[in-house]
Amino acid sequence: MKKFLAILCMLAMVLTLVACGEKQPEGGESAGADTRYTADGKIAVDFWSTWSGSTGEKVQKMADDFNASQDKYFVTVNYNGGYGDTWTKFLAMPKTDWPDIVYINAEKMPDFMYEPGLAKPMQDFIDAEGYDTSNIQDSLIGQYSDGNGDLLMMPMGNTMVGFFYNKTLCDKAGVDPAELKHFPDFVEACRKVNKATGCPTPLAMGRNPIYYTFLYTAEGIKGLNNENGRGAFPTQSMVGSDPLKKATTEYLTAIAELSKDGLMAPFSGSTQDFIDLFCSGNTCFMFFTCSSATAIYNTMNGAYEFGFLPAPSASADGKVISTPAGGGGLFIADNNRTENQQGAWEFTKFLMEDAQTSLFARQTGYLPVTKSTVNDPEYKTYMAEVFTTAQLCMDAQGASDPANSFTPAWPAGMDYATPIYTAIDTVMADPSVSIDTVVATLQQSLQDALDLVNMAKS
Amino acid sequence: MRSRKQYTQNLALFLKVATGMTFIFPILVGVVFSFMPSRVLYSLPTWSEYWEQVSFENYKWVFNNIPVFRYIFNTFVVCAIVIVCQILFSSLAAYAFANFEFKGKVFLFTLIQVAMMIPGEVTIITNYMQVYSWGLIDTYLGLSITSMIAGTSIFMMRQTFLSQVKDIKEAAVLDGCGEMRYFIKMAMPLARPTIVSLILMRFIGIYNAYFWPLLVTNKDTMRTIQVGMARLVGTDMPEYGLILAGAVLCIIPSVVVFILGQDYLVKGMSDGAVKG
Amino acid sequence: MSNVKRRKKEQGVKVSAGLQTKQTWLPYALLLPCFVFFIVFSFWPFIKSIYLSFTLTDMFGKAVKWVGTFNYLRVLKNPEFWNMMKVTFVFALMVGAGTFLVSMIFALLSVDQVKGGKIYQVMFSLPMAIASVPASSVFIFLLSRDGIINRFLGVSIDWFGDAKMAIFAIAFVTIWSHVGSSYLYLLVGFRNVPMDLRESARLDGAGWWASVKNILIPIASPQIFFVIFLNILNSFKAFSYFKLLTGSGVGGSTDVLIYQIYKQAFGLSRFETACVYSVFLFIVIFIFTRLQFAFEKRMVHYQ
Repeated sequence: MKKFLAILCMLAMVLTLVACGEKQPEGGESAGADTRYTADGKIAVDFWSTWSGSTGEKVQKMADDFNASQDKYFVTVNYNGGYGDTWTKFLAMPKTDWPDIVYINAEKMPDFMYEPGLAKPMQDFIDAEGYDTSNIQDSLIGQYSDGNGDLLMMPMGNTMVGFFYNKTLCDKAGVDPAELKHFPDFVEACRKVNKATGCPTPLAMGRNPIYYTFLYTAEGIKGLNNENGRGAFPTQSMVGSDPLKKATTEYLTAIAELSKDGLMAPFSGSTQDFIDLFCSGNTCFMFFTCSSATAIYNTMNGAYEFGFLPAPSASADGKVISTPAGGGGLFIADNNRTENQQGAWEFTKFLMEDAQTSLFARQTGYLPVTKSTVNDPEYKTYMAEVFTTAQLCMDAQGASDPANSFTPAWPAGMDYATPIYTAIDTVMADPSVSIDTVVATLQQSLQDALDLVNMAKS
Repeated sequence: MRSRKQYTQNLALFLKVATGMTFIFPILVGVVFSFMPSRVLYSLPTWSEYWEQVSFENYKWVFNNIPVFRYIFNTFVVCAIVIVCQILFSSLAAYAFANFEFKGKVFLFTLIQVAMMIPGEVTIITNYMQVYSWGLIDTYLGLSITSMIAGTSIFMMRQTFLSQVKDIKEAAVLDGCGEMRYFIKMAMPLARPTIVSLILMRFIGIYNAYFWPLLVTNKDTMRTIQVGMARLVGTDMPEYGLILAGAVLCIIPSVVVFILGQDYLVKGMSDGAVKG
Repeated sequence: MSNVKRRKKEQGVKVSAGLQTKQTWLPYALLLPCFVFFIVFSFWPFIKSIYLSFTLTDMFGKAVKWVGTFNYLRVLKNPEFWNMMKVTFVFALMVGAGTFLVSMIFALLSVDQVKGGKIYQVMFSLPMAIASVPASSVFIFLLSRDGIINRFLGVSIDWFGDAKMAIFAIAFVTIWSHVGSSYLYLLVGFRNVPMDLRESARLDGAGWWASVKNILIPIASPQIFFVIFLNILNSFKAFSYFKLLTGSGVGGSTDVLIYQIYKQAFGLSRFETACVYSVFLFIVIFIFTRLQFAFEKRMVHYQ
């Protein structure tokens, strides 16, 4: 009897050991030592990429090219899900096992600002070797730097918030999209388009807070106190006072007007869905990011002529002075493995070369992050055929006021999206609701969310 | 008269099969369209266009770019570990509940039910951190450890043991047969249908697991099938051809196992069924 | 004393004439692995969650401040929470009832074992073998605005994006994947009803439906109730399709409790709020499980 139990336990232990022993030895990582090496002695660079499908293929190609171009470092591309899953996993891991370099969305920038132990700032590497950052678009540097001007992340996916317009329909209605410099201007424009062409829902907006926050940032308005969080940790949402209060009121009023006439497309849907809406001519002005340019070009298949313009201001009379950038970038994790981090930096520099920025931009529809990419012949072709307004966008980025190019640094744990969605959903569902009440509720919800974060910090 | 009855029977059969086909039509559609290149899928093709464009290019791409067989191998290893552990530990526990009286029996049984009520998403991060601290990331043990015991397995085995005829056991015990000897020699073999049924259910469960393997594996070579295939989805611009091809490849093993094991599955569930 | 009894005494067994021997330590030993497992992987994390629900957490999920019932009050005062509870229950009802009805119909269709019946038996239960990742891929394709279903119905609805429609679309997919196991459980319950009972009823002149209503269903009723409750409980826990099909959610209309737990913890880094929701979810599941047992006891009594 006891013998039987003993055999049972041994069996279980053996099974466990067998399972443990199955650990696949790839890369022969030397446990415990500081630097991690690959099986053939190169310094390993663990790159977490959030790209899948054919973009993932191109990212792998870029890593392969880097590995082929030199002998010291070897980049391994690892896919760990989208932005959300990757970030979750990253935060749950112990610091010492962090990857070396990660591509993450721009919304995580504030986390690196407020939580110094997460990323090793790119600025450290830039300063160490005197890297020249003048080739990078200025507005990007503004967005990815903290209050001291230190670049924390390296931009890689450069997207601009703006609107795609259906040129064919606009011409027919006699509307010049370049004249639409304020969001409330769209009310009249949509009415014209609807009347002249029968387009049912001329205005569509992606379900993302950026189509509100970027619009008021573009006119120089701050959403959080303390310089949008870059001066000190934010404690106050600015929706309660002018100029943001006025801008928000005018923005929501415009939405109400459009909803009253039934001219606005539903405020929800997948990216593919919005693209279908636009490409079928059911929407004339689609507020989106320029990164969908390639996708739209492919879907449109020549059905209509289209273009893209930077975001208008949120308020009825604001002047657009900047084009804040969205998208994503690379950060080097603060995992204390200096050699591997150095490899990550070398890889970053490689990715900033024209051939790579052009490849990435053409594959995804993001704008190039460097000014010199436009000299790449393949990108020139791409601009001429597919993304005809790319130059316009880049000019706008170039003209952007760096001091006002950064969006509010929403801290982690602050649910700023839900109050914004609620506000827009409420107005769309009942256009006759009191806009002042909606704005007051928005301010209250945002402030409550921010207070919660501050409470946890104190 | 007889042919009329035959006719109605055949008609009934036909209608039921038709209903079945309608029910699984998403799967059929997925298979059919996985043979279309992605760019054509944006606007649904007509029949003739379909036959013109049919190609294996999606599958070729998937096999070239995604280590499908590695993923399936990993999944099978994890399945094996989980199944062995589950059958072993659940049977032991079920045997205890079915054949013994001991202090705290009801309490312990209730505890198991309570454990089953805790939803997985609640425990997953803490489990991840624990598994991490034990150094089990990127190991087969790490992948399987959180599935080694399941309340439903204990329940089903217990039900089965309870329904086993007691007289044989009584006779064996009086003859001096030890409890564990009886367990191995009689109780388990008699429970074979339930065990097979459990094996099939667990296989499908582990095969279909996504979030836990995603967390616990960093290296692509250790990934299981669902995580591996999810690499195809996730960009804003879904390439439906690839996604469907990946999906079809994904489901083939579990569907095959399921169809082949149907009878065992049903028989096992039958033995573990709630009796009046 | 006899050899048998002496041997048993040495094993520490209390000898009794009855069937179930009173062992002193064996059952506990048998249960040990299970309980170690449950403690480590279920109870401990849950207790930790309960603890966290009384604190404020940082982005890493560590508690930074004890706030007592502040979180609970905050959540209960929030109208969005009540909306979420409403959506959760509506969804559970839809999916529970929907799955039950469909699987019931299928089971009744399959009761009489005929030649070739295996074919549709496999078809009715097949979706349970399909993982949620490939299934969502297929359904996103089918239910896209330009997709086959819309073409077939002649409408242009964005099933997963439209605030009004999304919850139904997700319910539809969830029901589709849950029918399989419910169907098999019901089928098994029906097949356990002795054929002769129904045969004799038929011989007495009862129609097919009457034999079902008066014999099959009452005898299989424990199984039927088991399936009803299983469905309800599973629909409270049904999470994967919410994540896979709608991504960032579609307004408040798809916020069920389990999805909100995930969203608060991993999307918004508000772990303590997620823990509060977990406690509520556990309470809901607990109540329904208790109900299930109460029903079962009553059913057994009727037999």
